[in-house]
Amino acid sequence: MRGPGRSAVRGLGKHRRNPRYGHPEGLFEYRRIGGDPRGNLVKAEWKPEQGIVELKSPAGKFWHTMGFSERGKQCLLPEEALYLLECGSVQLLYRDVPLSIQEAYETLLCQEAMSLSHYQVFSHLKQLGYIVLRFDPSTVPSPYERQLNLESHCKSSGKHHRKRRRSSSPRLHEKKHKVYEDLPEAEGTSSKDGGDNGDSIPMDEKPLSEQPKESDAGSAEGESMPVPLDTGQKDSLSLSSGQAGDHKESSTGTHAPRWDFTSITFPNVASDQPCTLLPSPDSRLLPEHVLGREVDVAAWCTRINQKQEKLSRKERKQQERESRYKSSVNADLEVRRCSNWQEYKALLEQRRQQRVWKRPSHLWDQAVTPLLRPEEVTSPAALLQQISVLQPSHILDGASRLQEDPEAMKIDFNVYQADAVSKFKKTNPGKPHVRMCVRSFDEQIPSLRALKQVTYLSGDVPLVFALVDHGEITFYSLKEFKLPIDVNH
Amino acid sequence: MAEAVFHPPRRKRRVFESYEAPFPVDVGGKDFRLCQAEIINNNVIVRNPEDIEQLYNKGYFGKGILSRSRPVFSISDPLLVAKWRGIDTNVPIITSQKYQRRVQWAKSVLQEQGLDDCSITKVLENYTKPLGLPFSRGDEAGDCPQTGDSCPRGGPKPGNAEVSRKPAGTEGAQSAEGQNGGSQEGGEAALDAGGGSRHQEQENSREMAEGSCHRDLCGCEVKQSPEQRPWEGLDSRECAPEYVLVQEEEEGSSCPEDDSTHAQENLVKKEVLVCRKNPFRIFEYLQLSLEEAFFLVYALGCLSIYYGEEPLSIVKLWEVFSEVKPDFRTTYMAYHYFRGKGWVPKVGLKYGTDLLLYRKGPPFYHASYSVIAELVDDNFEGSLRRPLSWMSLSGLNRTTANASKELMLCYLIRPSDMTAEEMATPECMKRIKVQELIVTRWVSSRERSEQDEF
Repeated sequence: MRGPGRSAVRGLGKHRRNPRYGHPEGLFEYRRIGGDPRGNLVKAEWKPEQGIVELKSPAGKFWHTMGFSERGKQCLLPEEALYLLECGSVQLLYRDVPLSIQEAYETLLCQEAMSLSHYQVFSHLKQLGYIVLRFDPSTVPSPYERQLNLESHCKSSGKHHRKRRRSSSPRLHEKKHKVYEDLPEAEGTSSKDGGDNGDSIPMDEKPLSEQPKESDAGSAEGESMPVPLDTGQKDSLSLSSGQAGDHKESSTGTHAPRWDFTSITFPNVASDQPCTLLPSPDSRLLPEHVLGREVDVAAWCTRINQKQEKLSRKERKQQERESRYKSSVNADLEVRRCSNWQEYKALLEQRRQQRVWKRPSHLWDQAVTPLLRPEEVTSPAALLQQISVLQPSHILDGASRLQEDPEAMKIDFNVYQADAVSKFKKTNPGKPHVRMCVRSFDEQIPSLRALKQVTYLSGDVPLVFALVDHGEITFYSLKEFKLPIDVNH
Repeated sequence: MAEAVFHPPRRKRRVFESYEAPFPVDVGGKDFRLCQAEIINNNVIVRNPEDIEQLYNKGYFGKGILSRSRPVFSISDPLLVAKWRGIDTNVPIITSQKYQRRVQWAKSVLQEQGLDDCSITKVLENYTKPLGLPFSRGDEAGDCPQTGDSCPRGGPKPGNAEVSRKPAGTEGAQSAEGQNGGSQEGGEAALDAGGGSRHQEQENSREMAEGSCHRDLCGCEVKQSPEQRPWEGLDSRECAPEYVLVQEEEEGSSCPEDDSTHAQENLVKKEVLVCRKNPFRIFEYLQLSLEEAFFLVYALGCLSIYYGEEPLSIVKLWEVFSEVKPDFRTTYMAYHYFRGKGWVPKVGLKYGTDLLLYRKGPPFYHASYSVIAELVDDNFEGSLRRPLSWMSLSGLNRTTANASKELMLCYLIRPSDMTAEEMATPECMKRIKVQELIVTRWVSSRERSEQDEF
């Protein structure tokens, strides 16, 4: 017989013995998992009308992680009671008669919410030391609330807010979803999004001969990273996300630039056209309380190291090689004649068409032509970008609109790690380690639709599918993934 | 919701190849080469050796039909090559039986063409006569024309057909038969045709071409003379004969002056290598999968696919391939997506999936992912090509994990308003989204959870 608290006894549900003991001592003959060997057996009564078990004597140590209070009485959920019965920590009574384990299985596990397979998963995890609670959808903070860091606020309400629905207006729902959506893509794998952000600056760019230094203003608004805010600043979040949204929308339409760049000059201080006398800036361009003045940097230039850079032999050779093939764009007179980006692009297009290149007509004179134009790409990354036409999708895309489906898969358990036991508070359990969906091996794996629904339902907690096959349990998860772009070999 | 962690691929311990380029098209488009392929029996085949090299070396497209992956087929017998190590040559070395078999095959081919036995024998004798002289161990094969090289190295010199067996120390490959190393001059012994051997070769091949014009004797695939070939890619090299070194037994005695009785006793069977033309040459081609072929045409524009003599347009290929393989569009979209990320997808048949993803290429890293592609609609549902139960997923995951790969499900989401017409061109891909999922097994035992895999 194994000592208490150490073994993970499998197949607890496969007890062949079916004794009917009239006295508590009989229960000690079972192998015990955990439980208190000195055992003051806690008496508990099964209440079928409510589907719960009411404790008749005070609870033991298990009360730290299991059970709940209702109307002043300590109660246990059926699976908890059954588990404790198997541990030898409680004695279950029904109509004043102690239930055997077999009878308890039959009696307590008759609900839809807690079938035999659910119980097997529960028991398996409990034996490994996890804390397992039933899942309650209303306690999952919405992505919006998470963003606002409302989690602590949410959880303190605990289970009493079962009826509370997640309240977010549809518009904000959309915005926050969009913002959330950008998060994984902001990590740089999607070039499309990056391009979008760039385009959100609706101003014409300067011609090439000058050195345009575009504003920081554009980039700040263009980024759609969520800003961590305190609870109280709900309004400003909606405002800025609204702005970001508007900004994105307006980038596609025509937008008259606020600044007339033909009259504003940006000084060129590069080494090819040293401009040492910088005039006083127009006061209209400056923020309040900031004064500008004219400056002559000639004196500074003498102090800057203007010696020629001494290149190593290797670098010199490389420069020679490159100079054979490369030439400065500005050296081209036609390019200098372009007064804006549009004209430059038109020039490029014109040149491209004039280029004598043997393009087979069966590929190029057709409705659909090859994607790659090799002369247009300047780097391997650009090449990949030109051929990448399929768009990435995130697991949560479109998931919010699937939530109203009554047939959606349900999540069964919240699972907390064993290490968290000491700090665990039943009234405020915090974020689970994983959530569990109990399924059977013969079932089809969830469709993408079902997976999206249930992943959304799980919030930001990873989801695991527990598959039960006659007492054997295997766990799988299907996780969102984005294959990184591999360019530098 | 946690996302799957990216595990960087494991590099192979011994890498024998060097990396050239990710694609057969260079950035900037310099040295652009348009390769050619044909459709034969619903397979896409590349025959031109230079195209084969280009396509395989830059991007690992295709598979040699007689090799495991890279087209490296050779009839050379590795045991013989090791045995004749002293001879520095890349001409294949084969046994006499193997050579004779080939002669038999050539004979039966000529018979099928209706030639009478007498002329067959004459043709074959002429074609298969030894060139140069038998090499013993220690000889240099300097003048035997190298495979694939149409001009014989060292040049043929007119001269006597005798070998002067001056002992010359070569690499010390002194054989058990007591051979002394062949001399340098031995290597200079002429090819029969002397200075005109090159012409002879061409004559021979033209003879073959006109007489039988069979593909094996002269390398022409079709029954027409080389000049009528429709595309210029095909090398005349294919028409040039392949040279092989045949290990034959030559009876000789060590003391030529002995009288016959003694000579018989001192008969020494020595093995020599005789250079001959291969009468039944087998060409290895590169076979491209439908997805690879389409990618080269549509995404990169560096391949032209011919059916018969017609080059096919992109839309036509899309249509034709979809007919050949009903799920072509789905698997192609997945292929295109992963190529667009710089990974090399190869066929996943051996693992029961659609694609295997390699980083950089098969010679460098072990495959990292095993991918199953499915097409679904806007509601994220669809008729699945591979409906999986948890049981089959479990089995598939197990075999994948045993091979140190990760199982990936790739869902291609098509908008519900996409018409069949729209799907009839590859441009439909612009509206299709890709969702990748990784299948992982969660281990519940406590030790594992402490490692914080989640």
